[in-house]
Amino acid sequence: MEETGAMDPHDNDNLELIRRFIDEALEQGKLDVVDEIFAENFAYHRNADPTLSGGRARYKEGLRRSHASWPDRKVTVTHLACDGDYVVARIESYATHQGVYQGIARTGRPVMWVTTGIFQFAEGRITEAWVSEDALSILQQLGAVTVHQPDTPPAAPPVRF
Amino acid sequence: MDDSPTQKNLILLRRFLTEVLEGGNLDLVDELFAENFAYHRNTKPPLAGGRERYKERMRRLRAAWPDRRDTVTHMFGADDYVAVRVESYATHQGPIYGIPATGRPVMWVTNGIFQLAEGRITEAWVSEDTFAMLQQMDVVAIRPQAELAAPQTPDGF
Repeated sequence: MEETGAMDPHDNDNLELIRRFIDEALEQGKLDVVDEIFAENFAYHRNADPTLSGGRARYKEGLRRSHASWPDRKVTVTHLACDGDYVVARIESYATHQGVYQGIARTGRPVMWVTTGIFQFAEGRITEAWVSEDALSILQQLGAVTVHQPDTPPAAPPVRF
Repeated sequence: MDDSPTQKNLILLRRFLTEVLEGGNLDLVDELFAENFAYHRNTKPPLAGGRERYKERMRRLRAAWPDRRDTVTHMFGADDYVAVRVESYATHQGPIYGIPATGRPVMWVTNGIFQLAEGRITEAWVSEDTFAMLQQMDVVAIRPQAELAAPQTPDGF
């Protein structure tokens, strides 16, 4: 894990836990750390998807699949800061596509993507996270997506008063 | 309410979200953003051309989503930075990402980090899911695996 330009001189334990999560879970795939730093009923929100049901166990399963897709993932932390119980992190991930991702079989292609996440803490554990990342750029780098023109003619704009 | 720098930054960000993004008051961009403002969206290179170019982008966004409504679910400050999470709801009424108006309702989430100096926004890093937006416009498809190139073995593996 490389860290460039950490934002907050008022470092705290929560920031350190996020660093461990990135280093151990995201980069190395050592998922034991998840049980240590996430609450059991952890709620995960990614983009506009519905909240992941199943808490920490289900999230851990997702991380396991993600690590199988991107086993050599390396992360650069460009921003990391906190305000009380909330932490924001912006990371750049670099990985080779080596396992099924979104139904797409291994392509062996190198991919780079950006994630910005907000994490809420209570009693030293992450209880909820809201993560945003551009799935389109990942799929484009895999050469696995087609954008086409609308099938239906453009709708007339509504009358403006 | 205190008048700390962080509090002032939060008030400024709130004006940007309410008056520019929702309200379409593009003149306010000159007041809220530094002239050499640097905008980073997803994995794209920073937008060249500073505030003027960003304003032009805002104008196009406004034409694409004229009825945009935002819900700010998170906003907090740390030193010179403000972090925000916004849920946006809008009808697709003008060209965006090369797609002409579809008239469809679209919802998307944006996580952004804004850096401020001397009462203006100097740089912003924004993550949002373009794929979900295109899915809701019904203009995107994941290619069948058969069409993909055969798996390659990267060097060194």
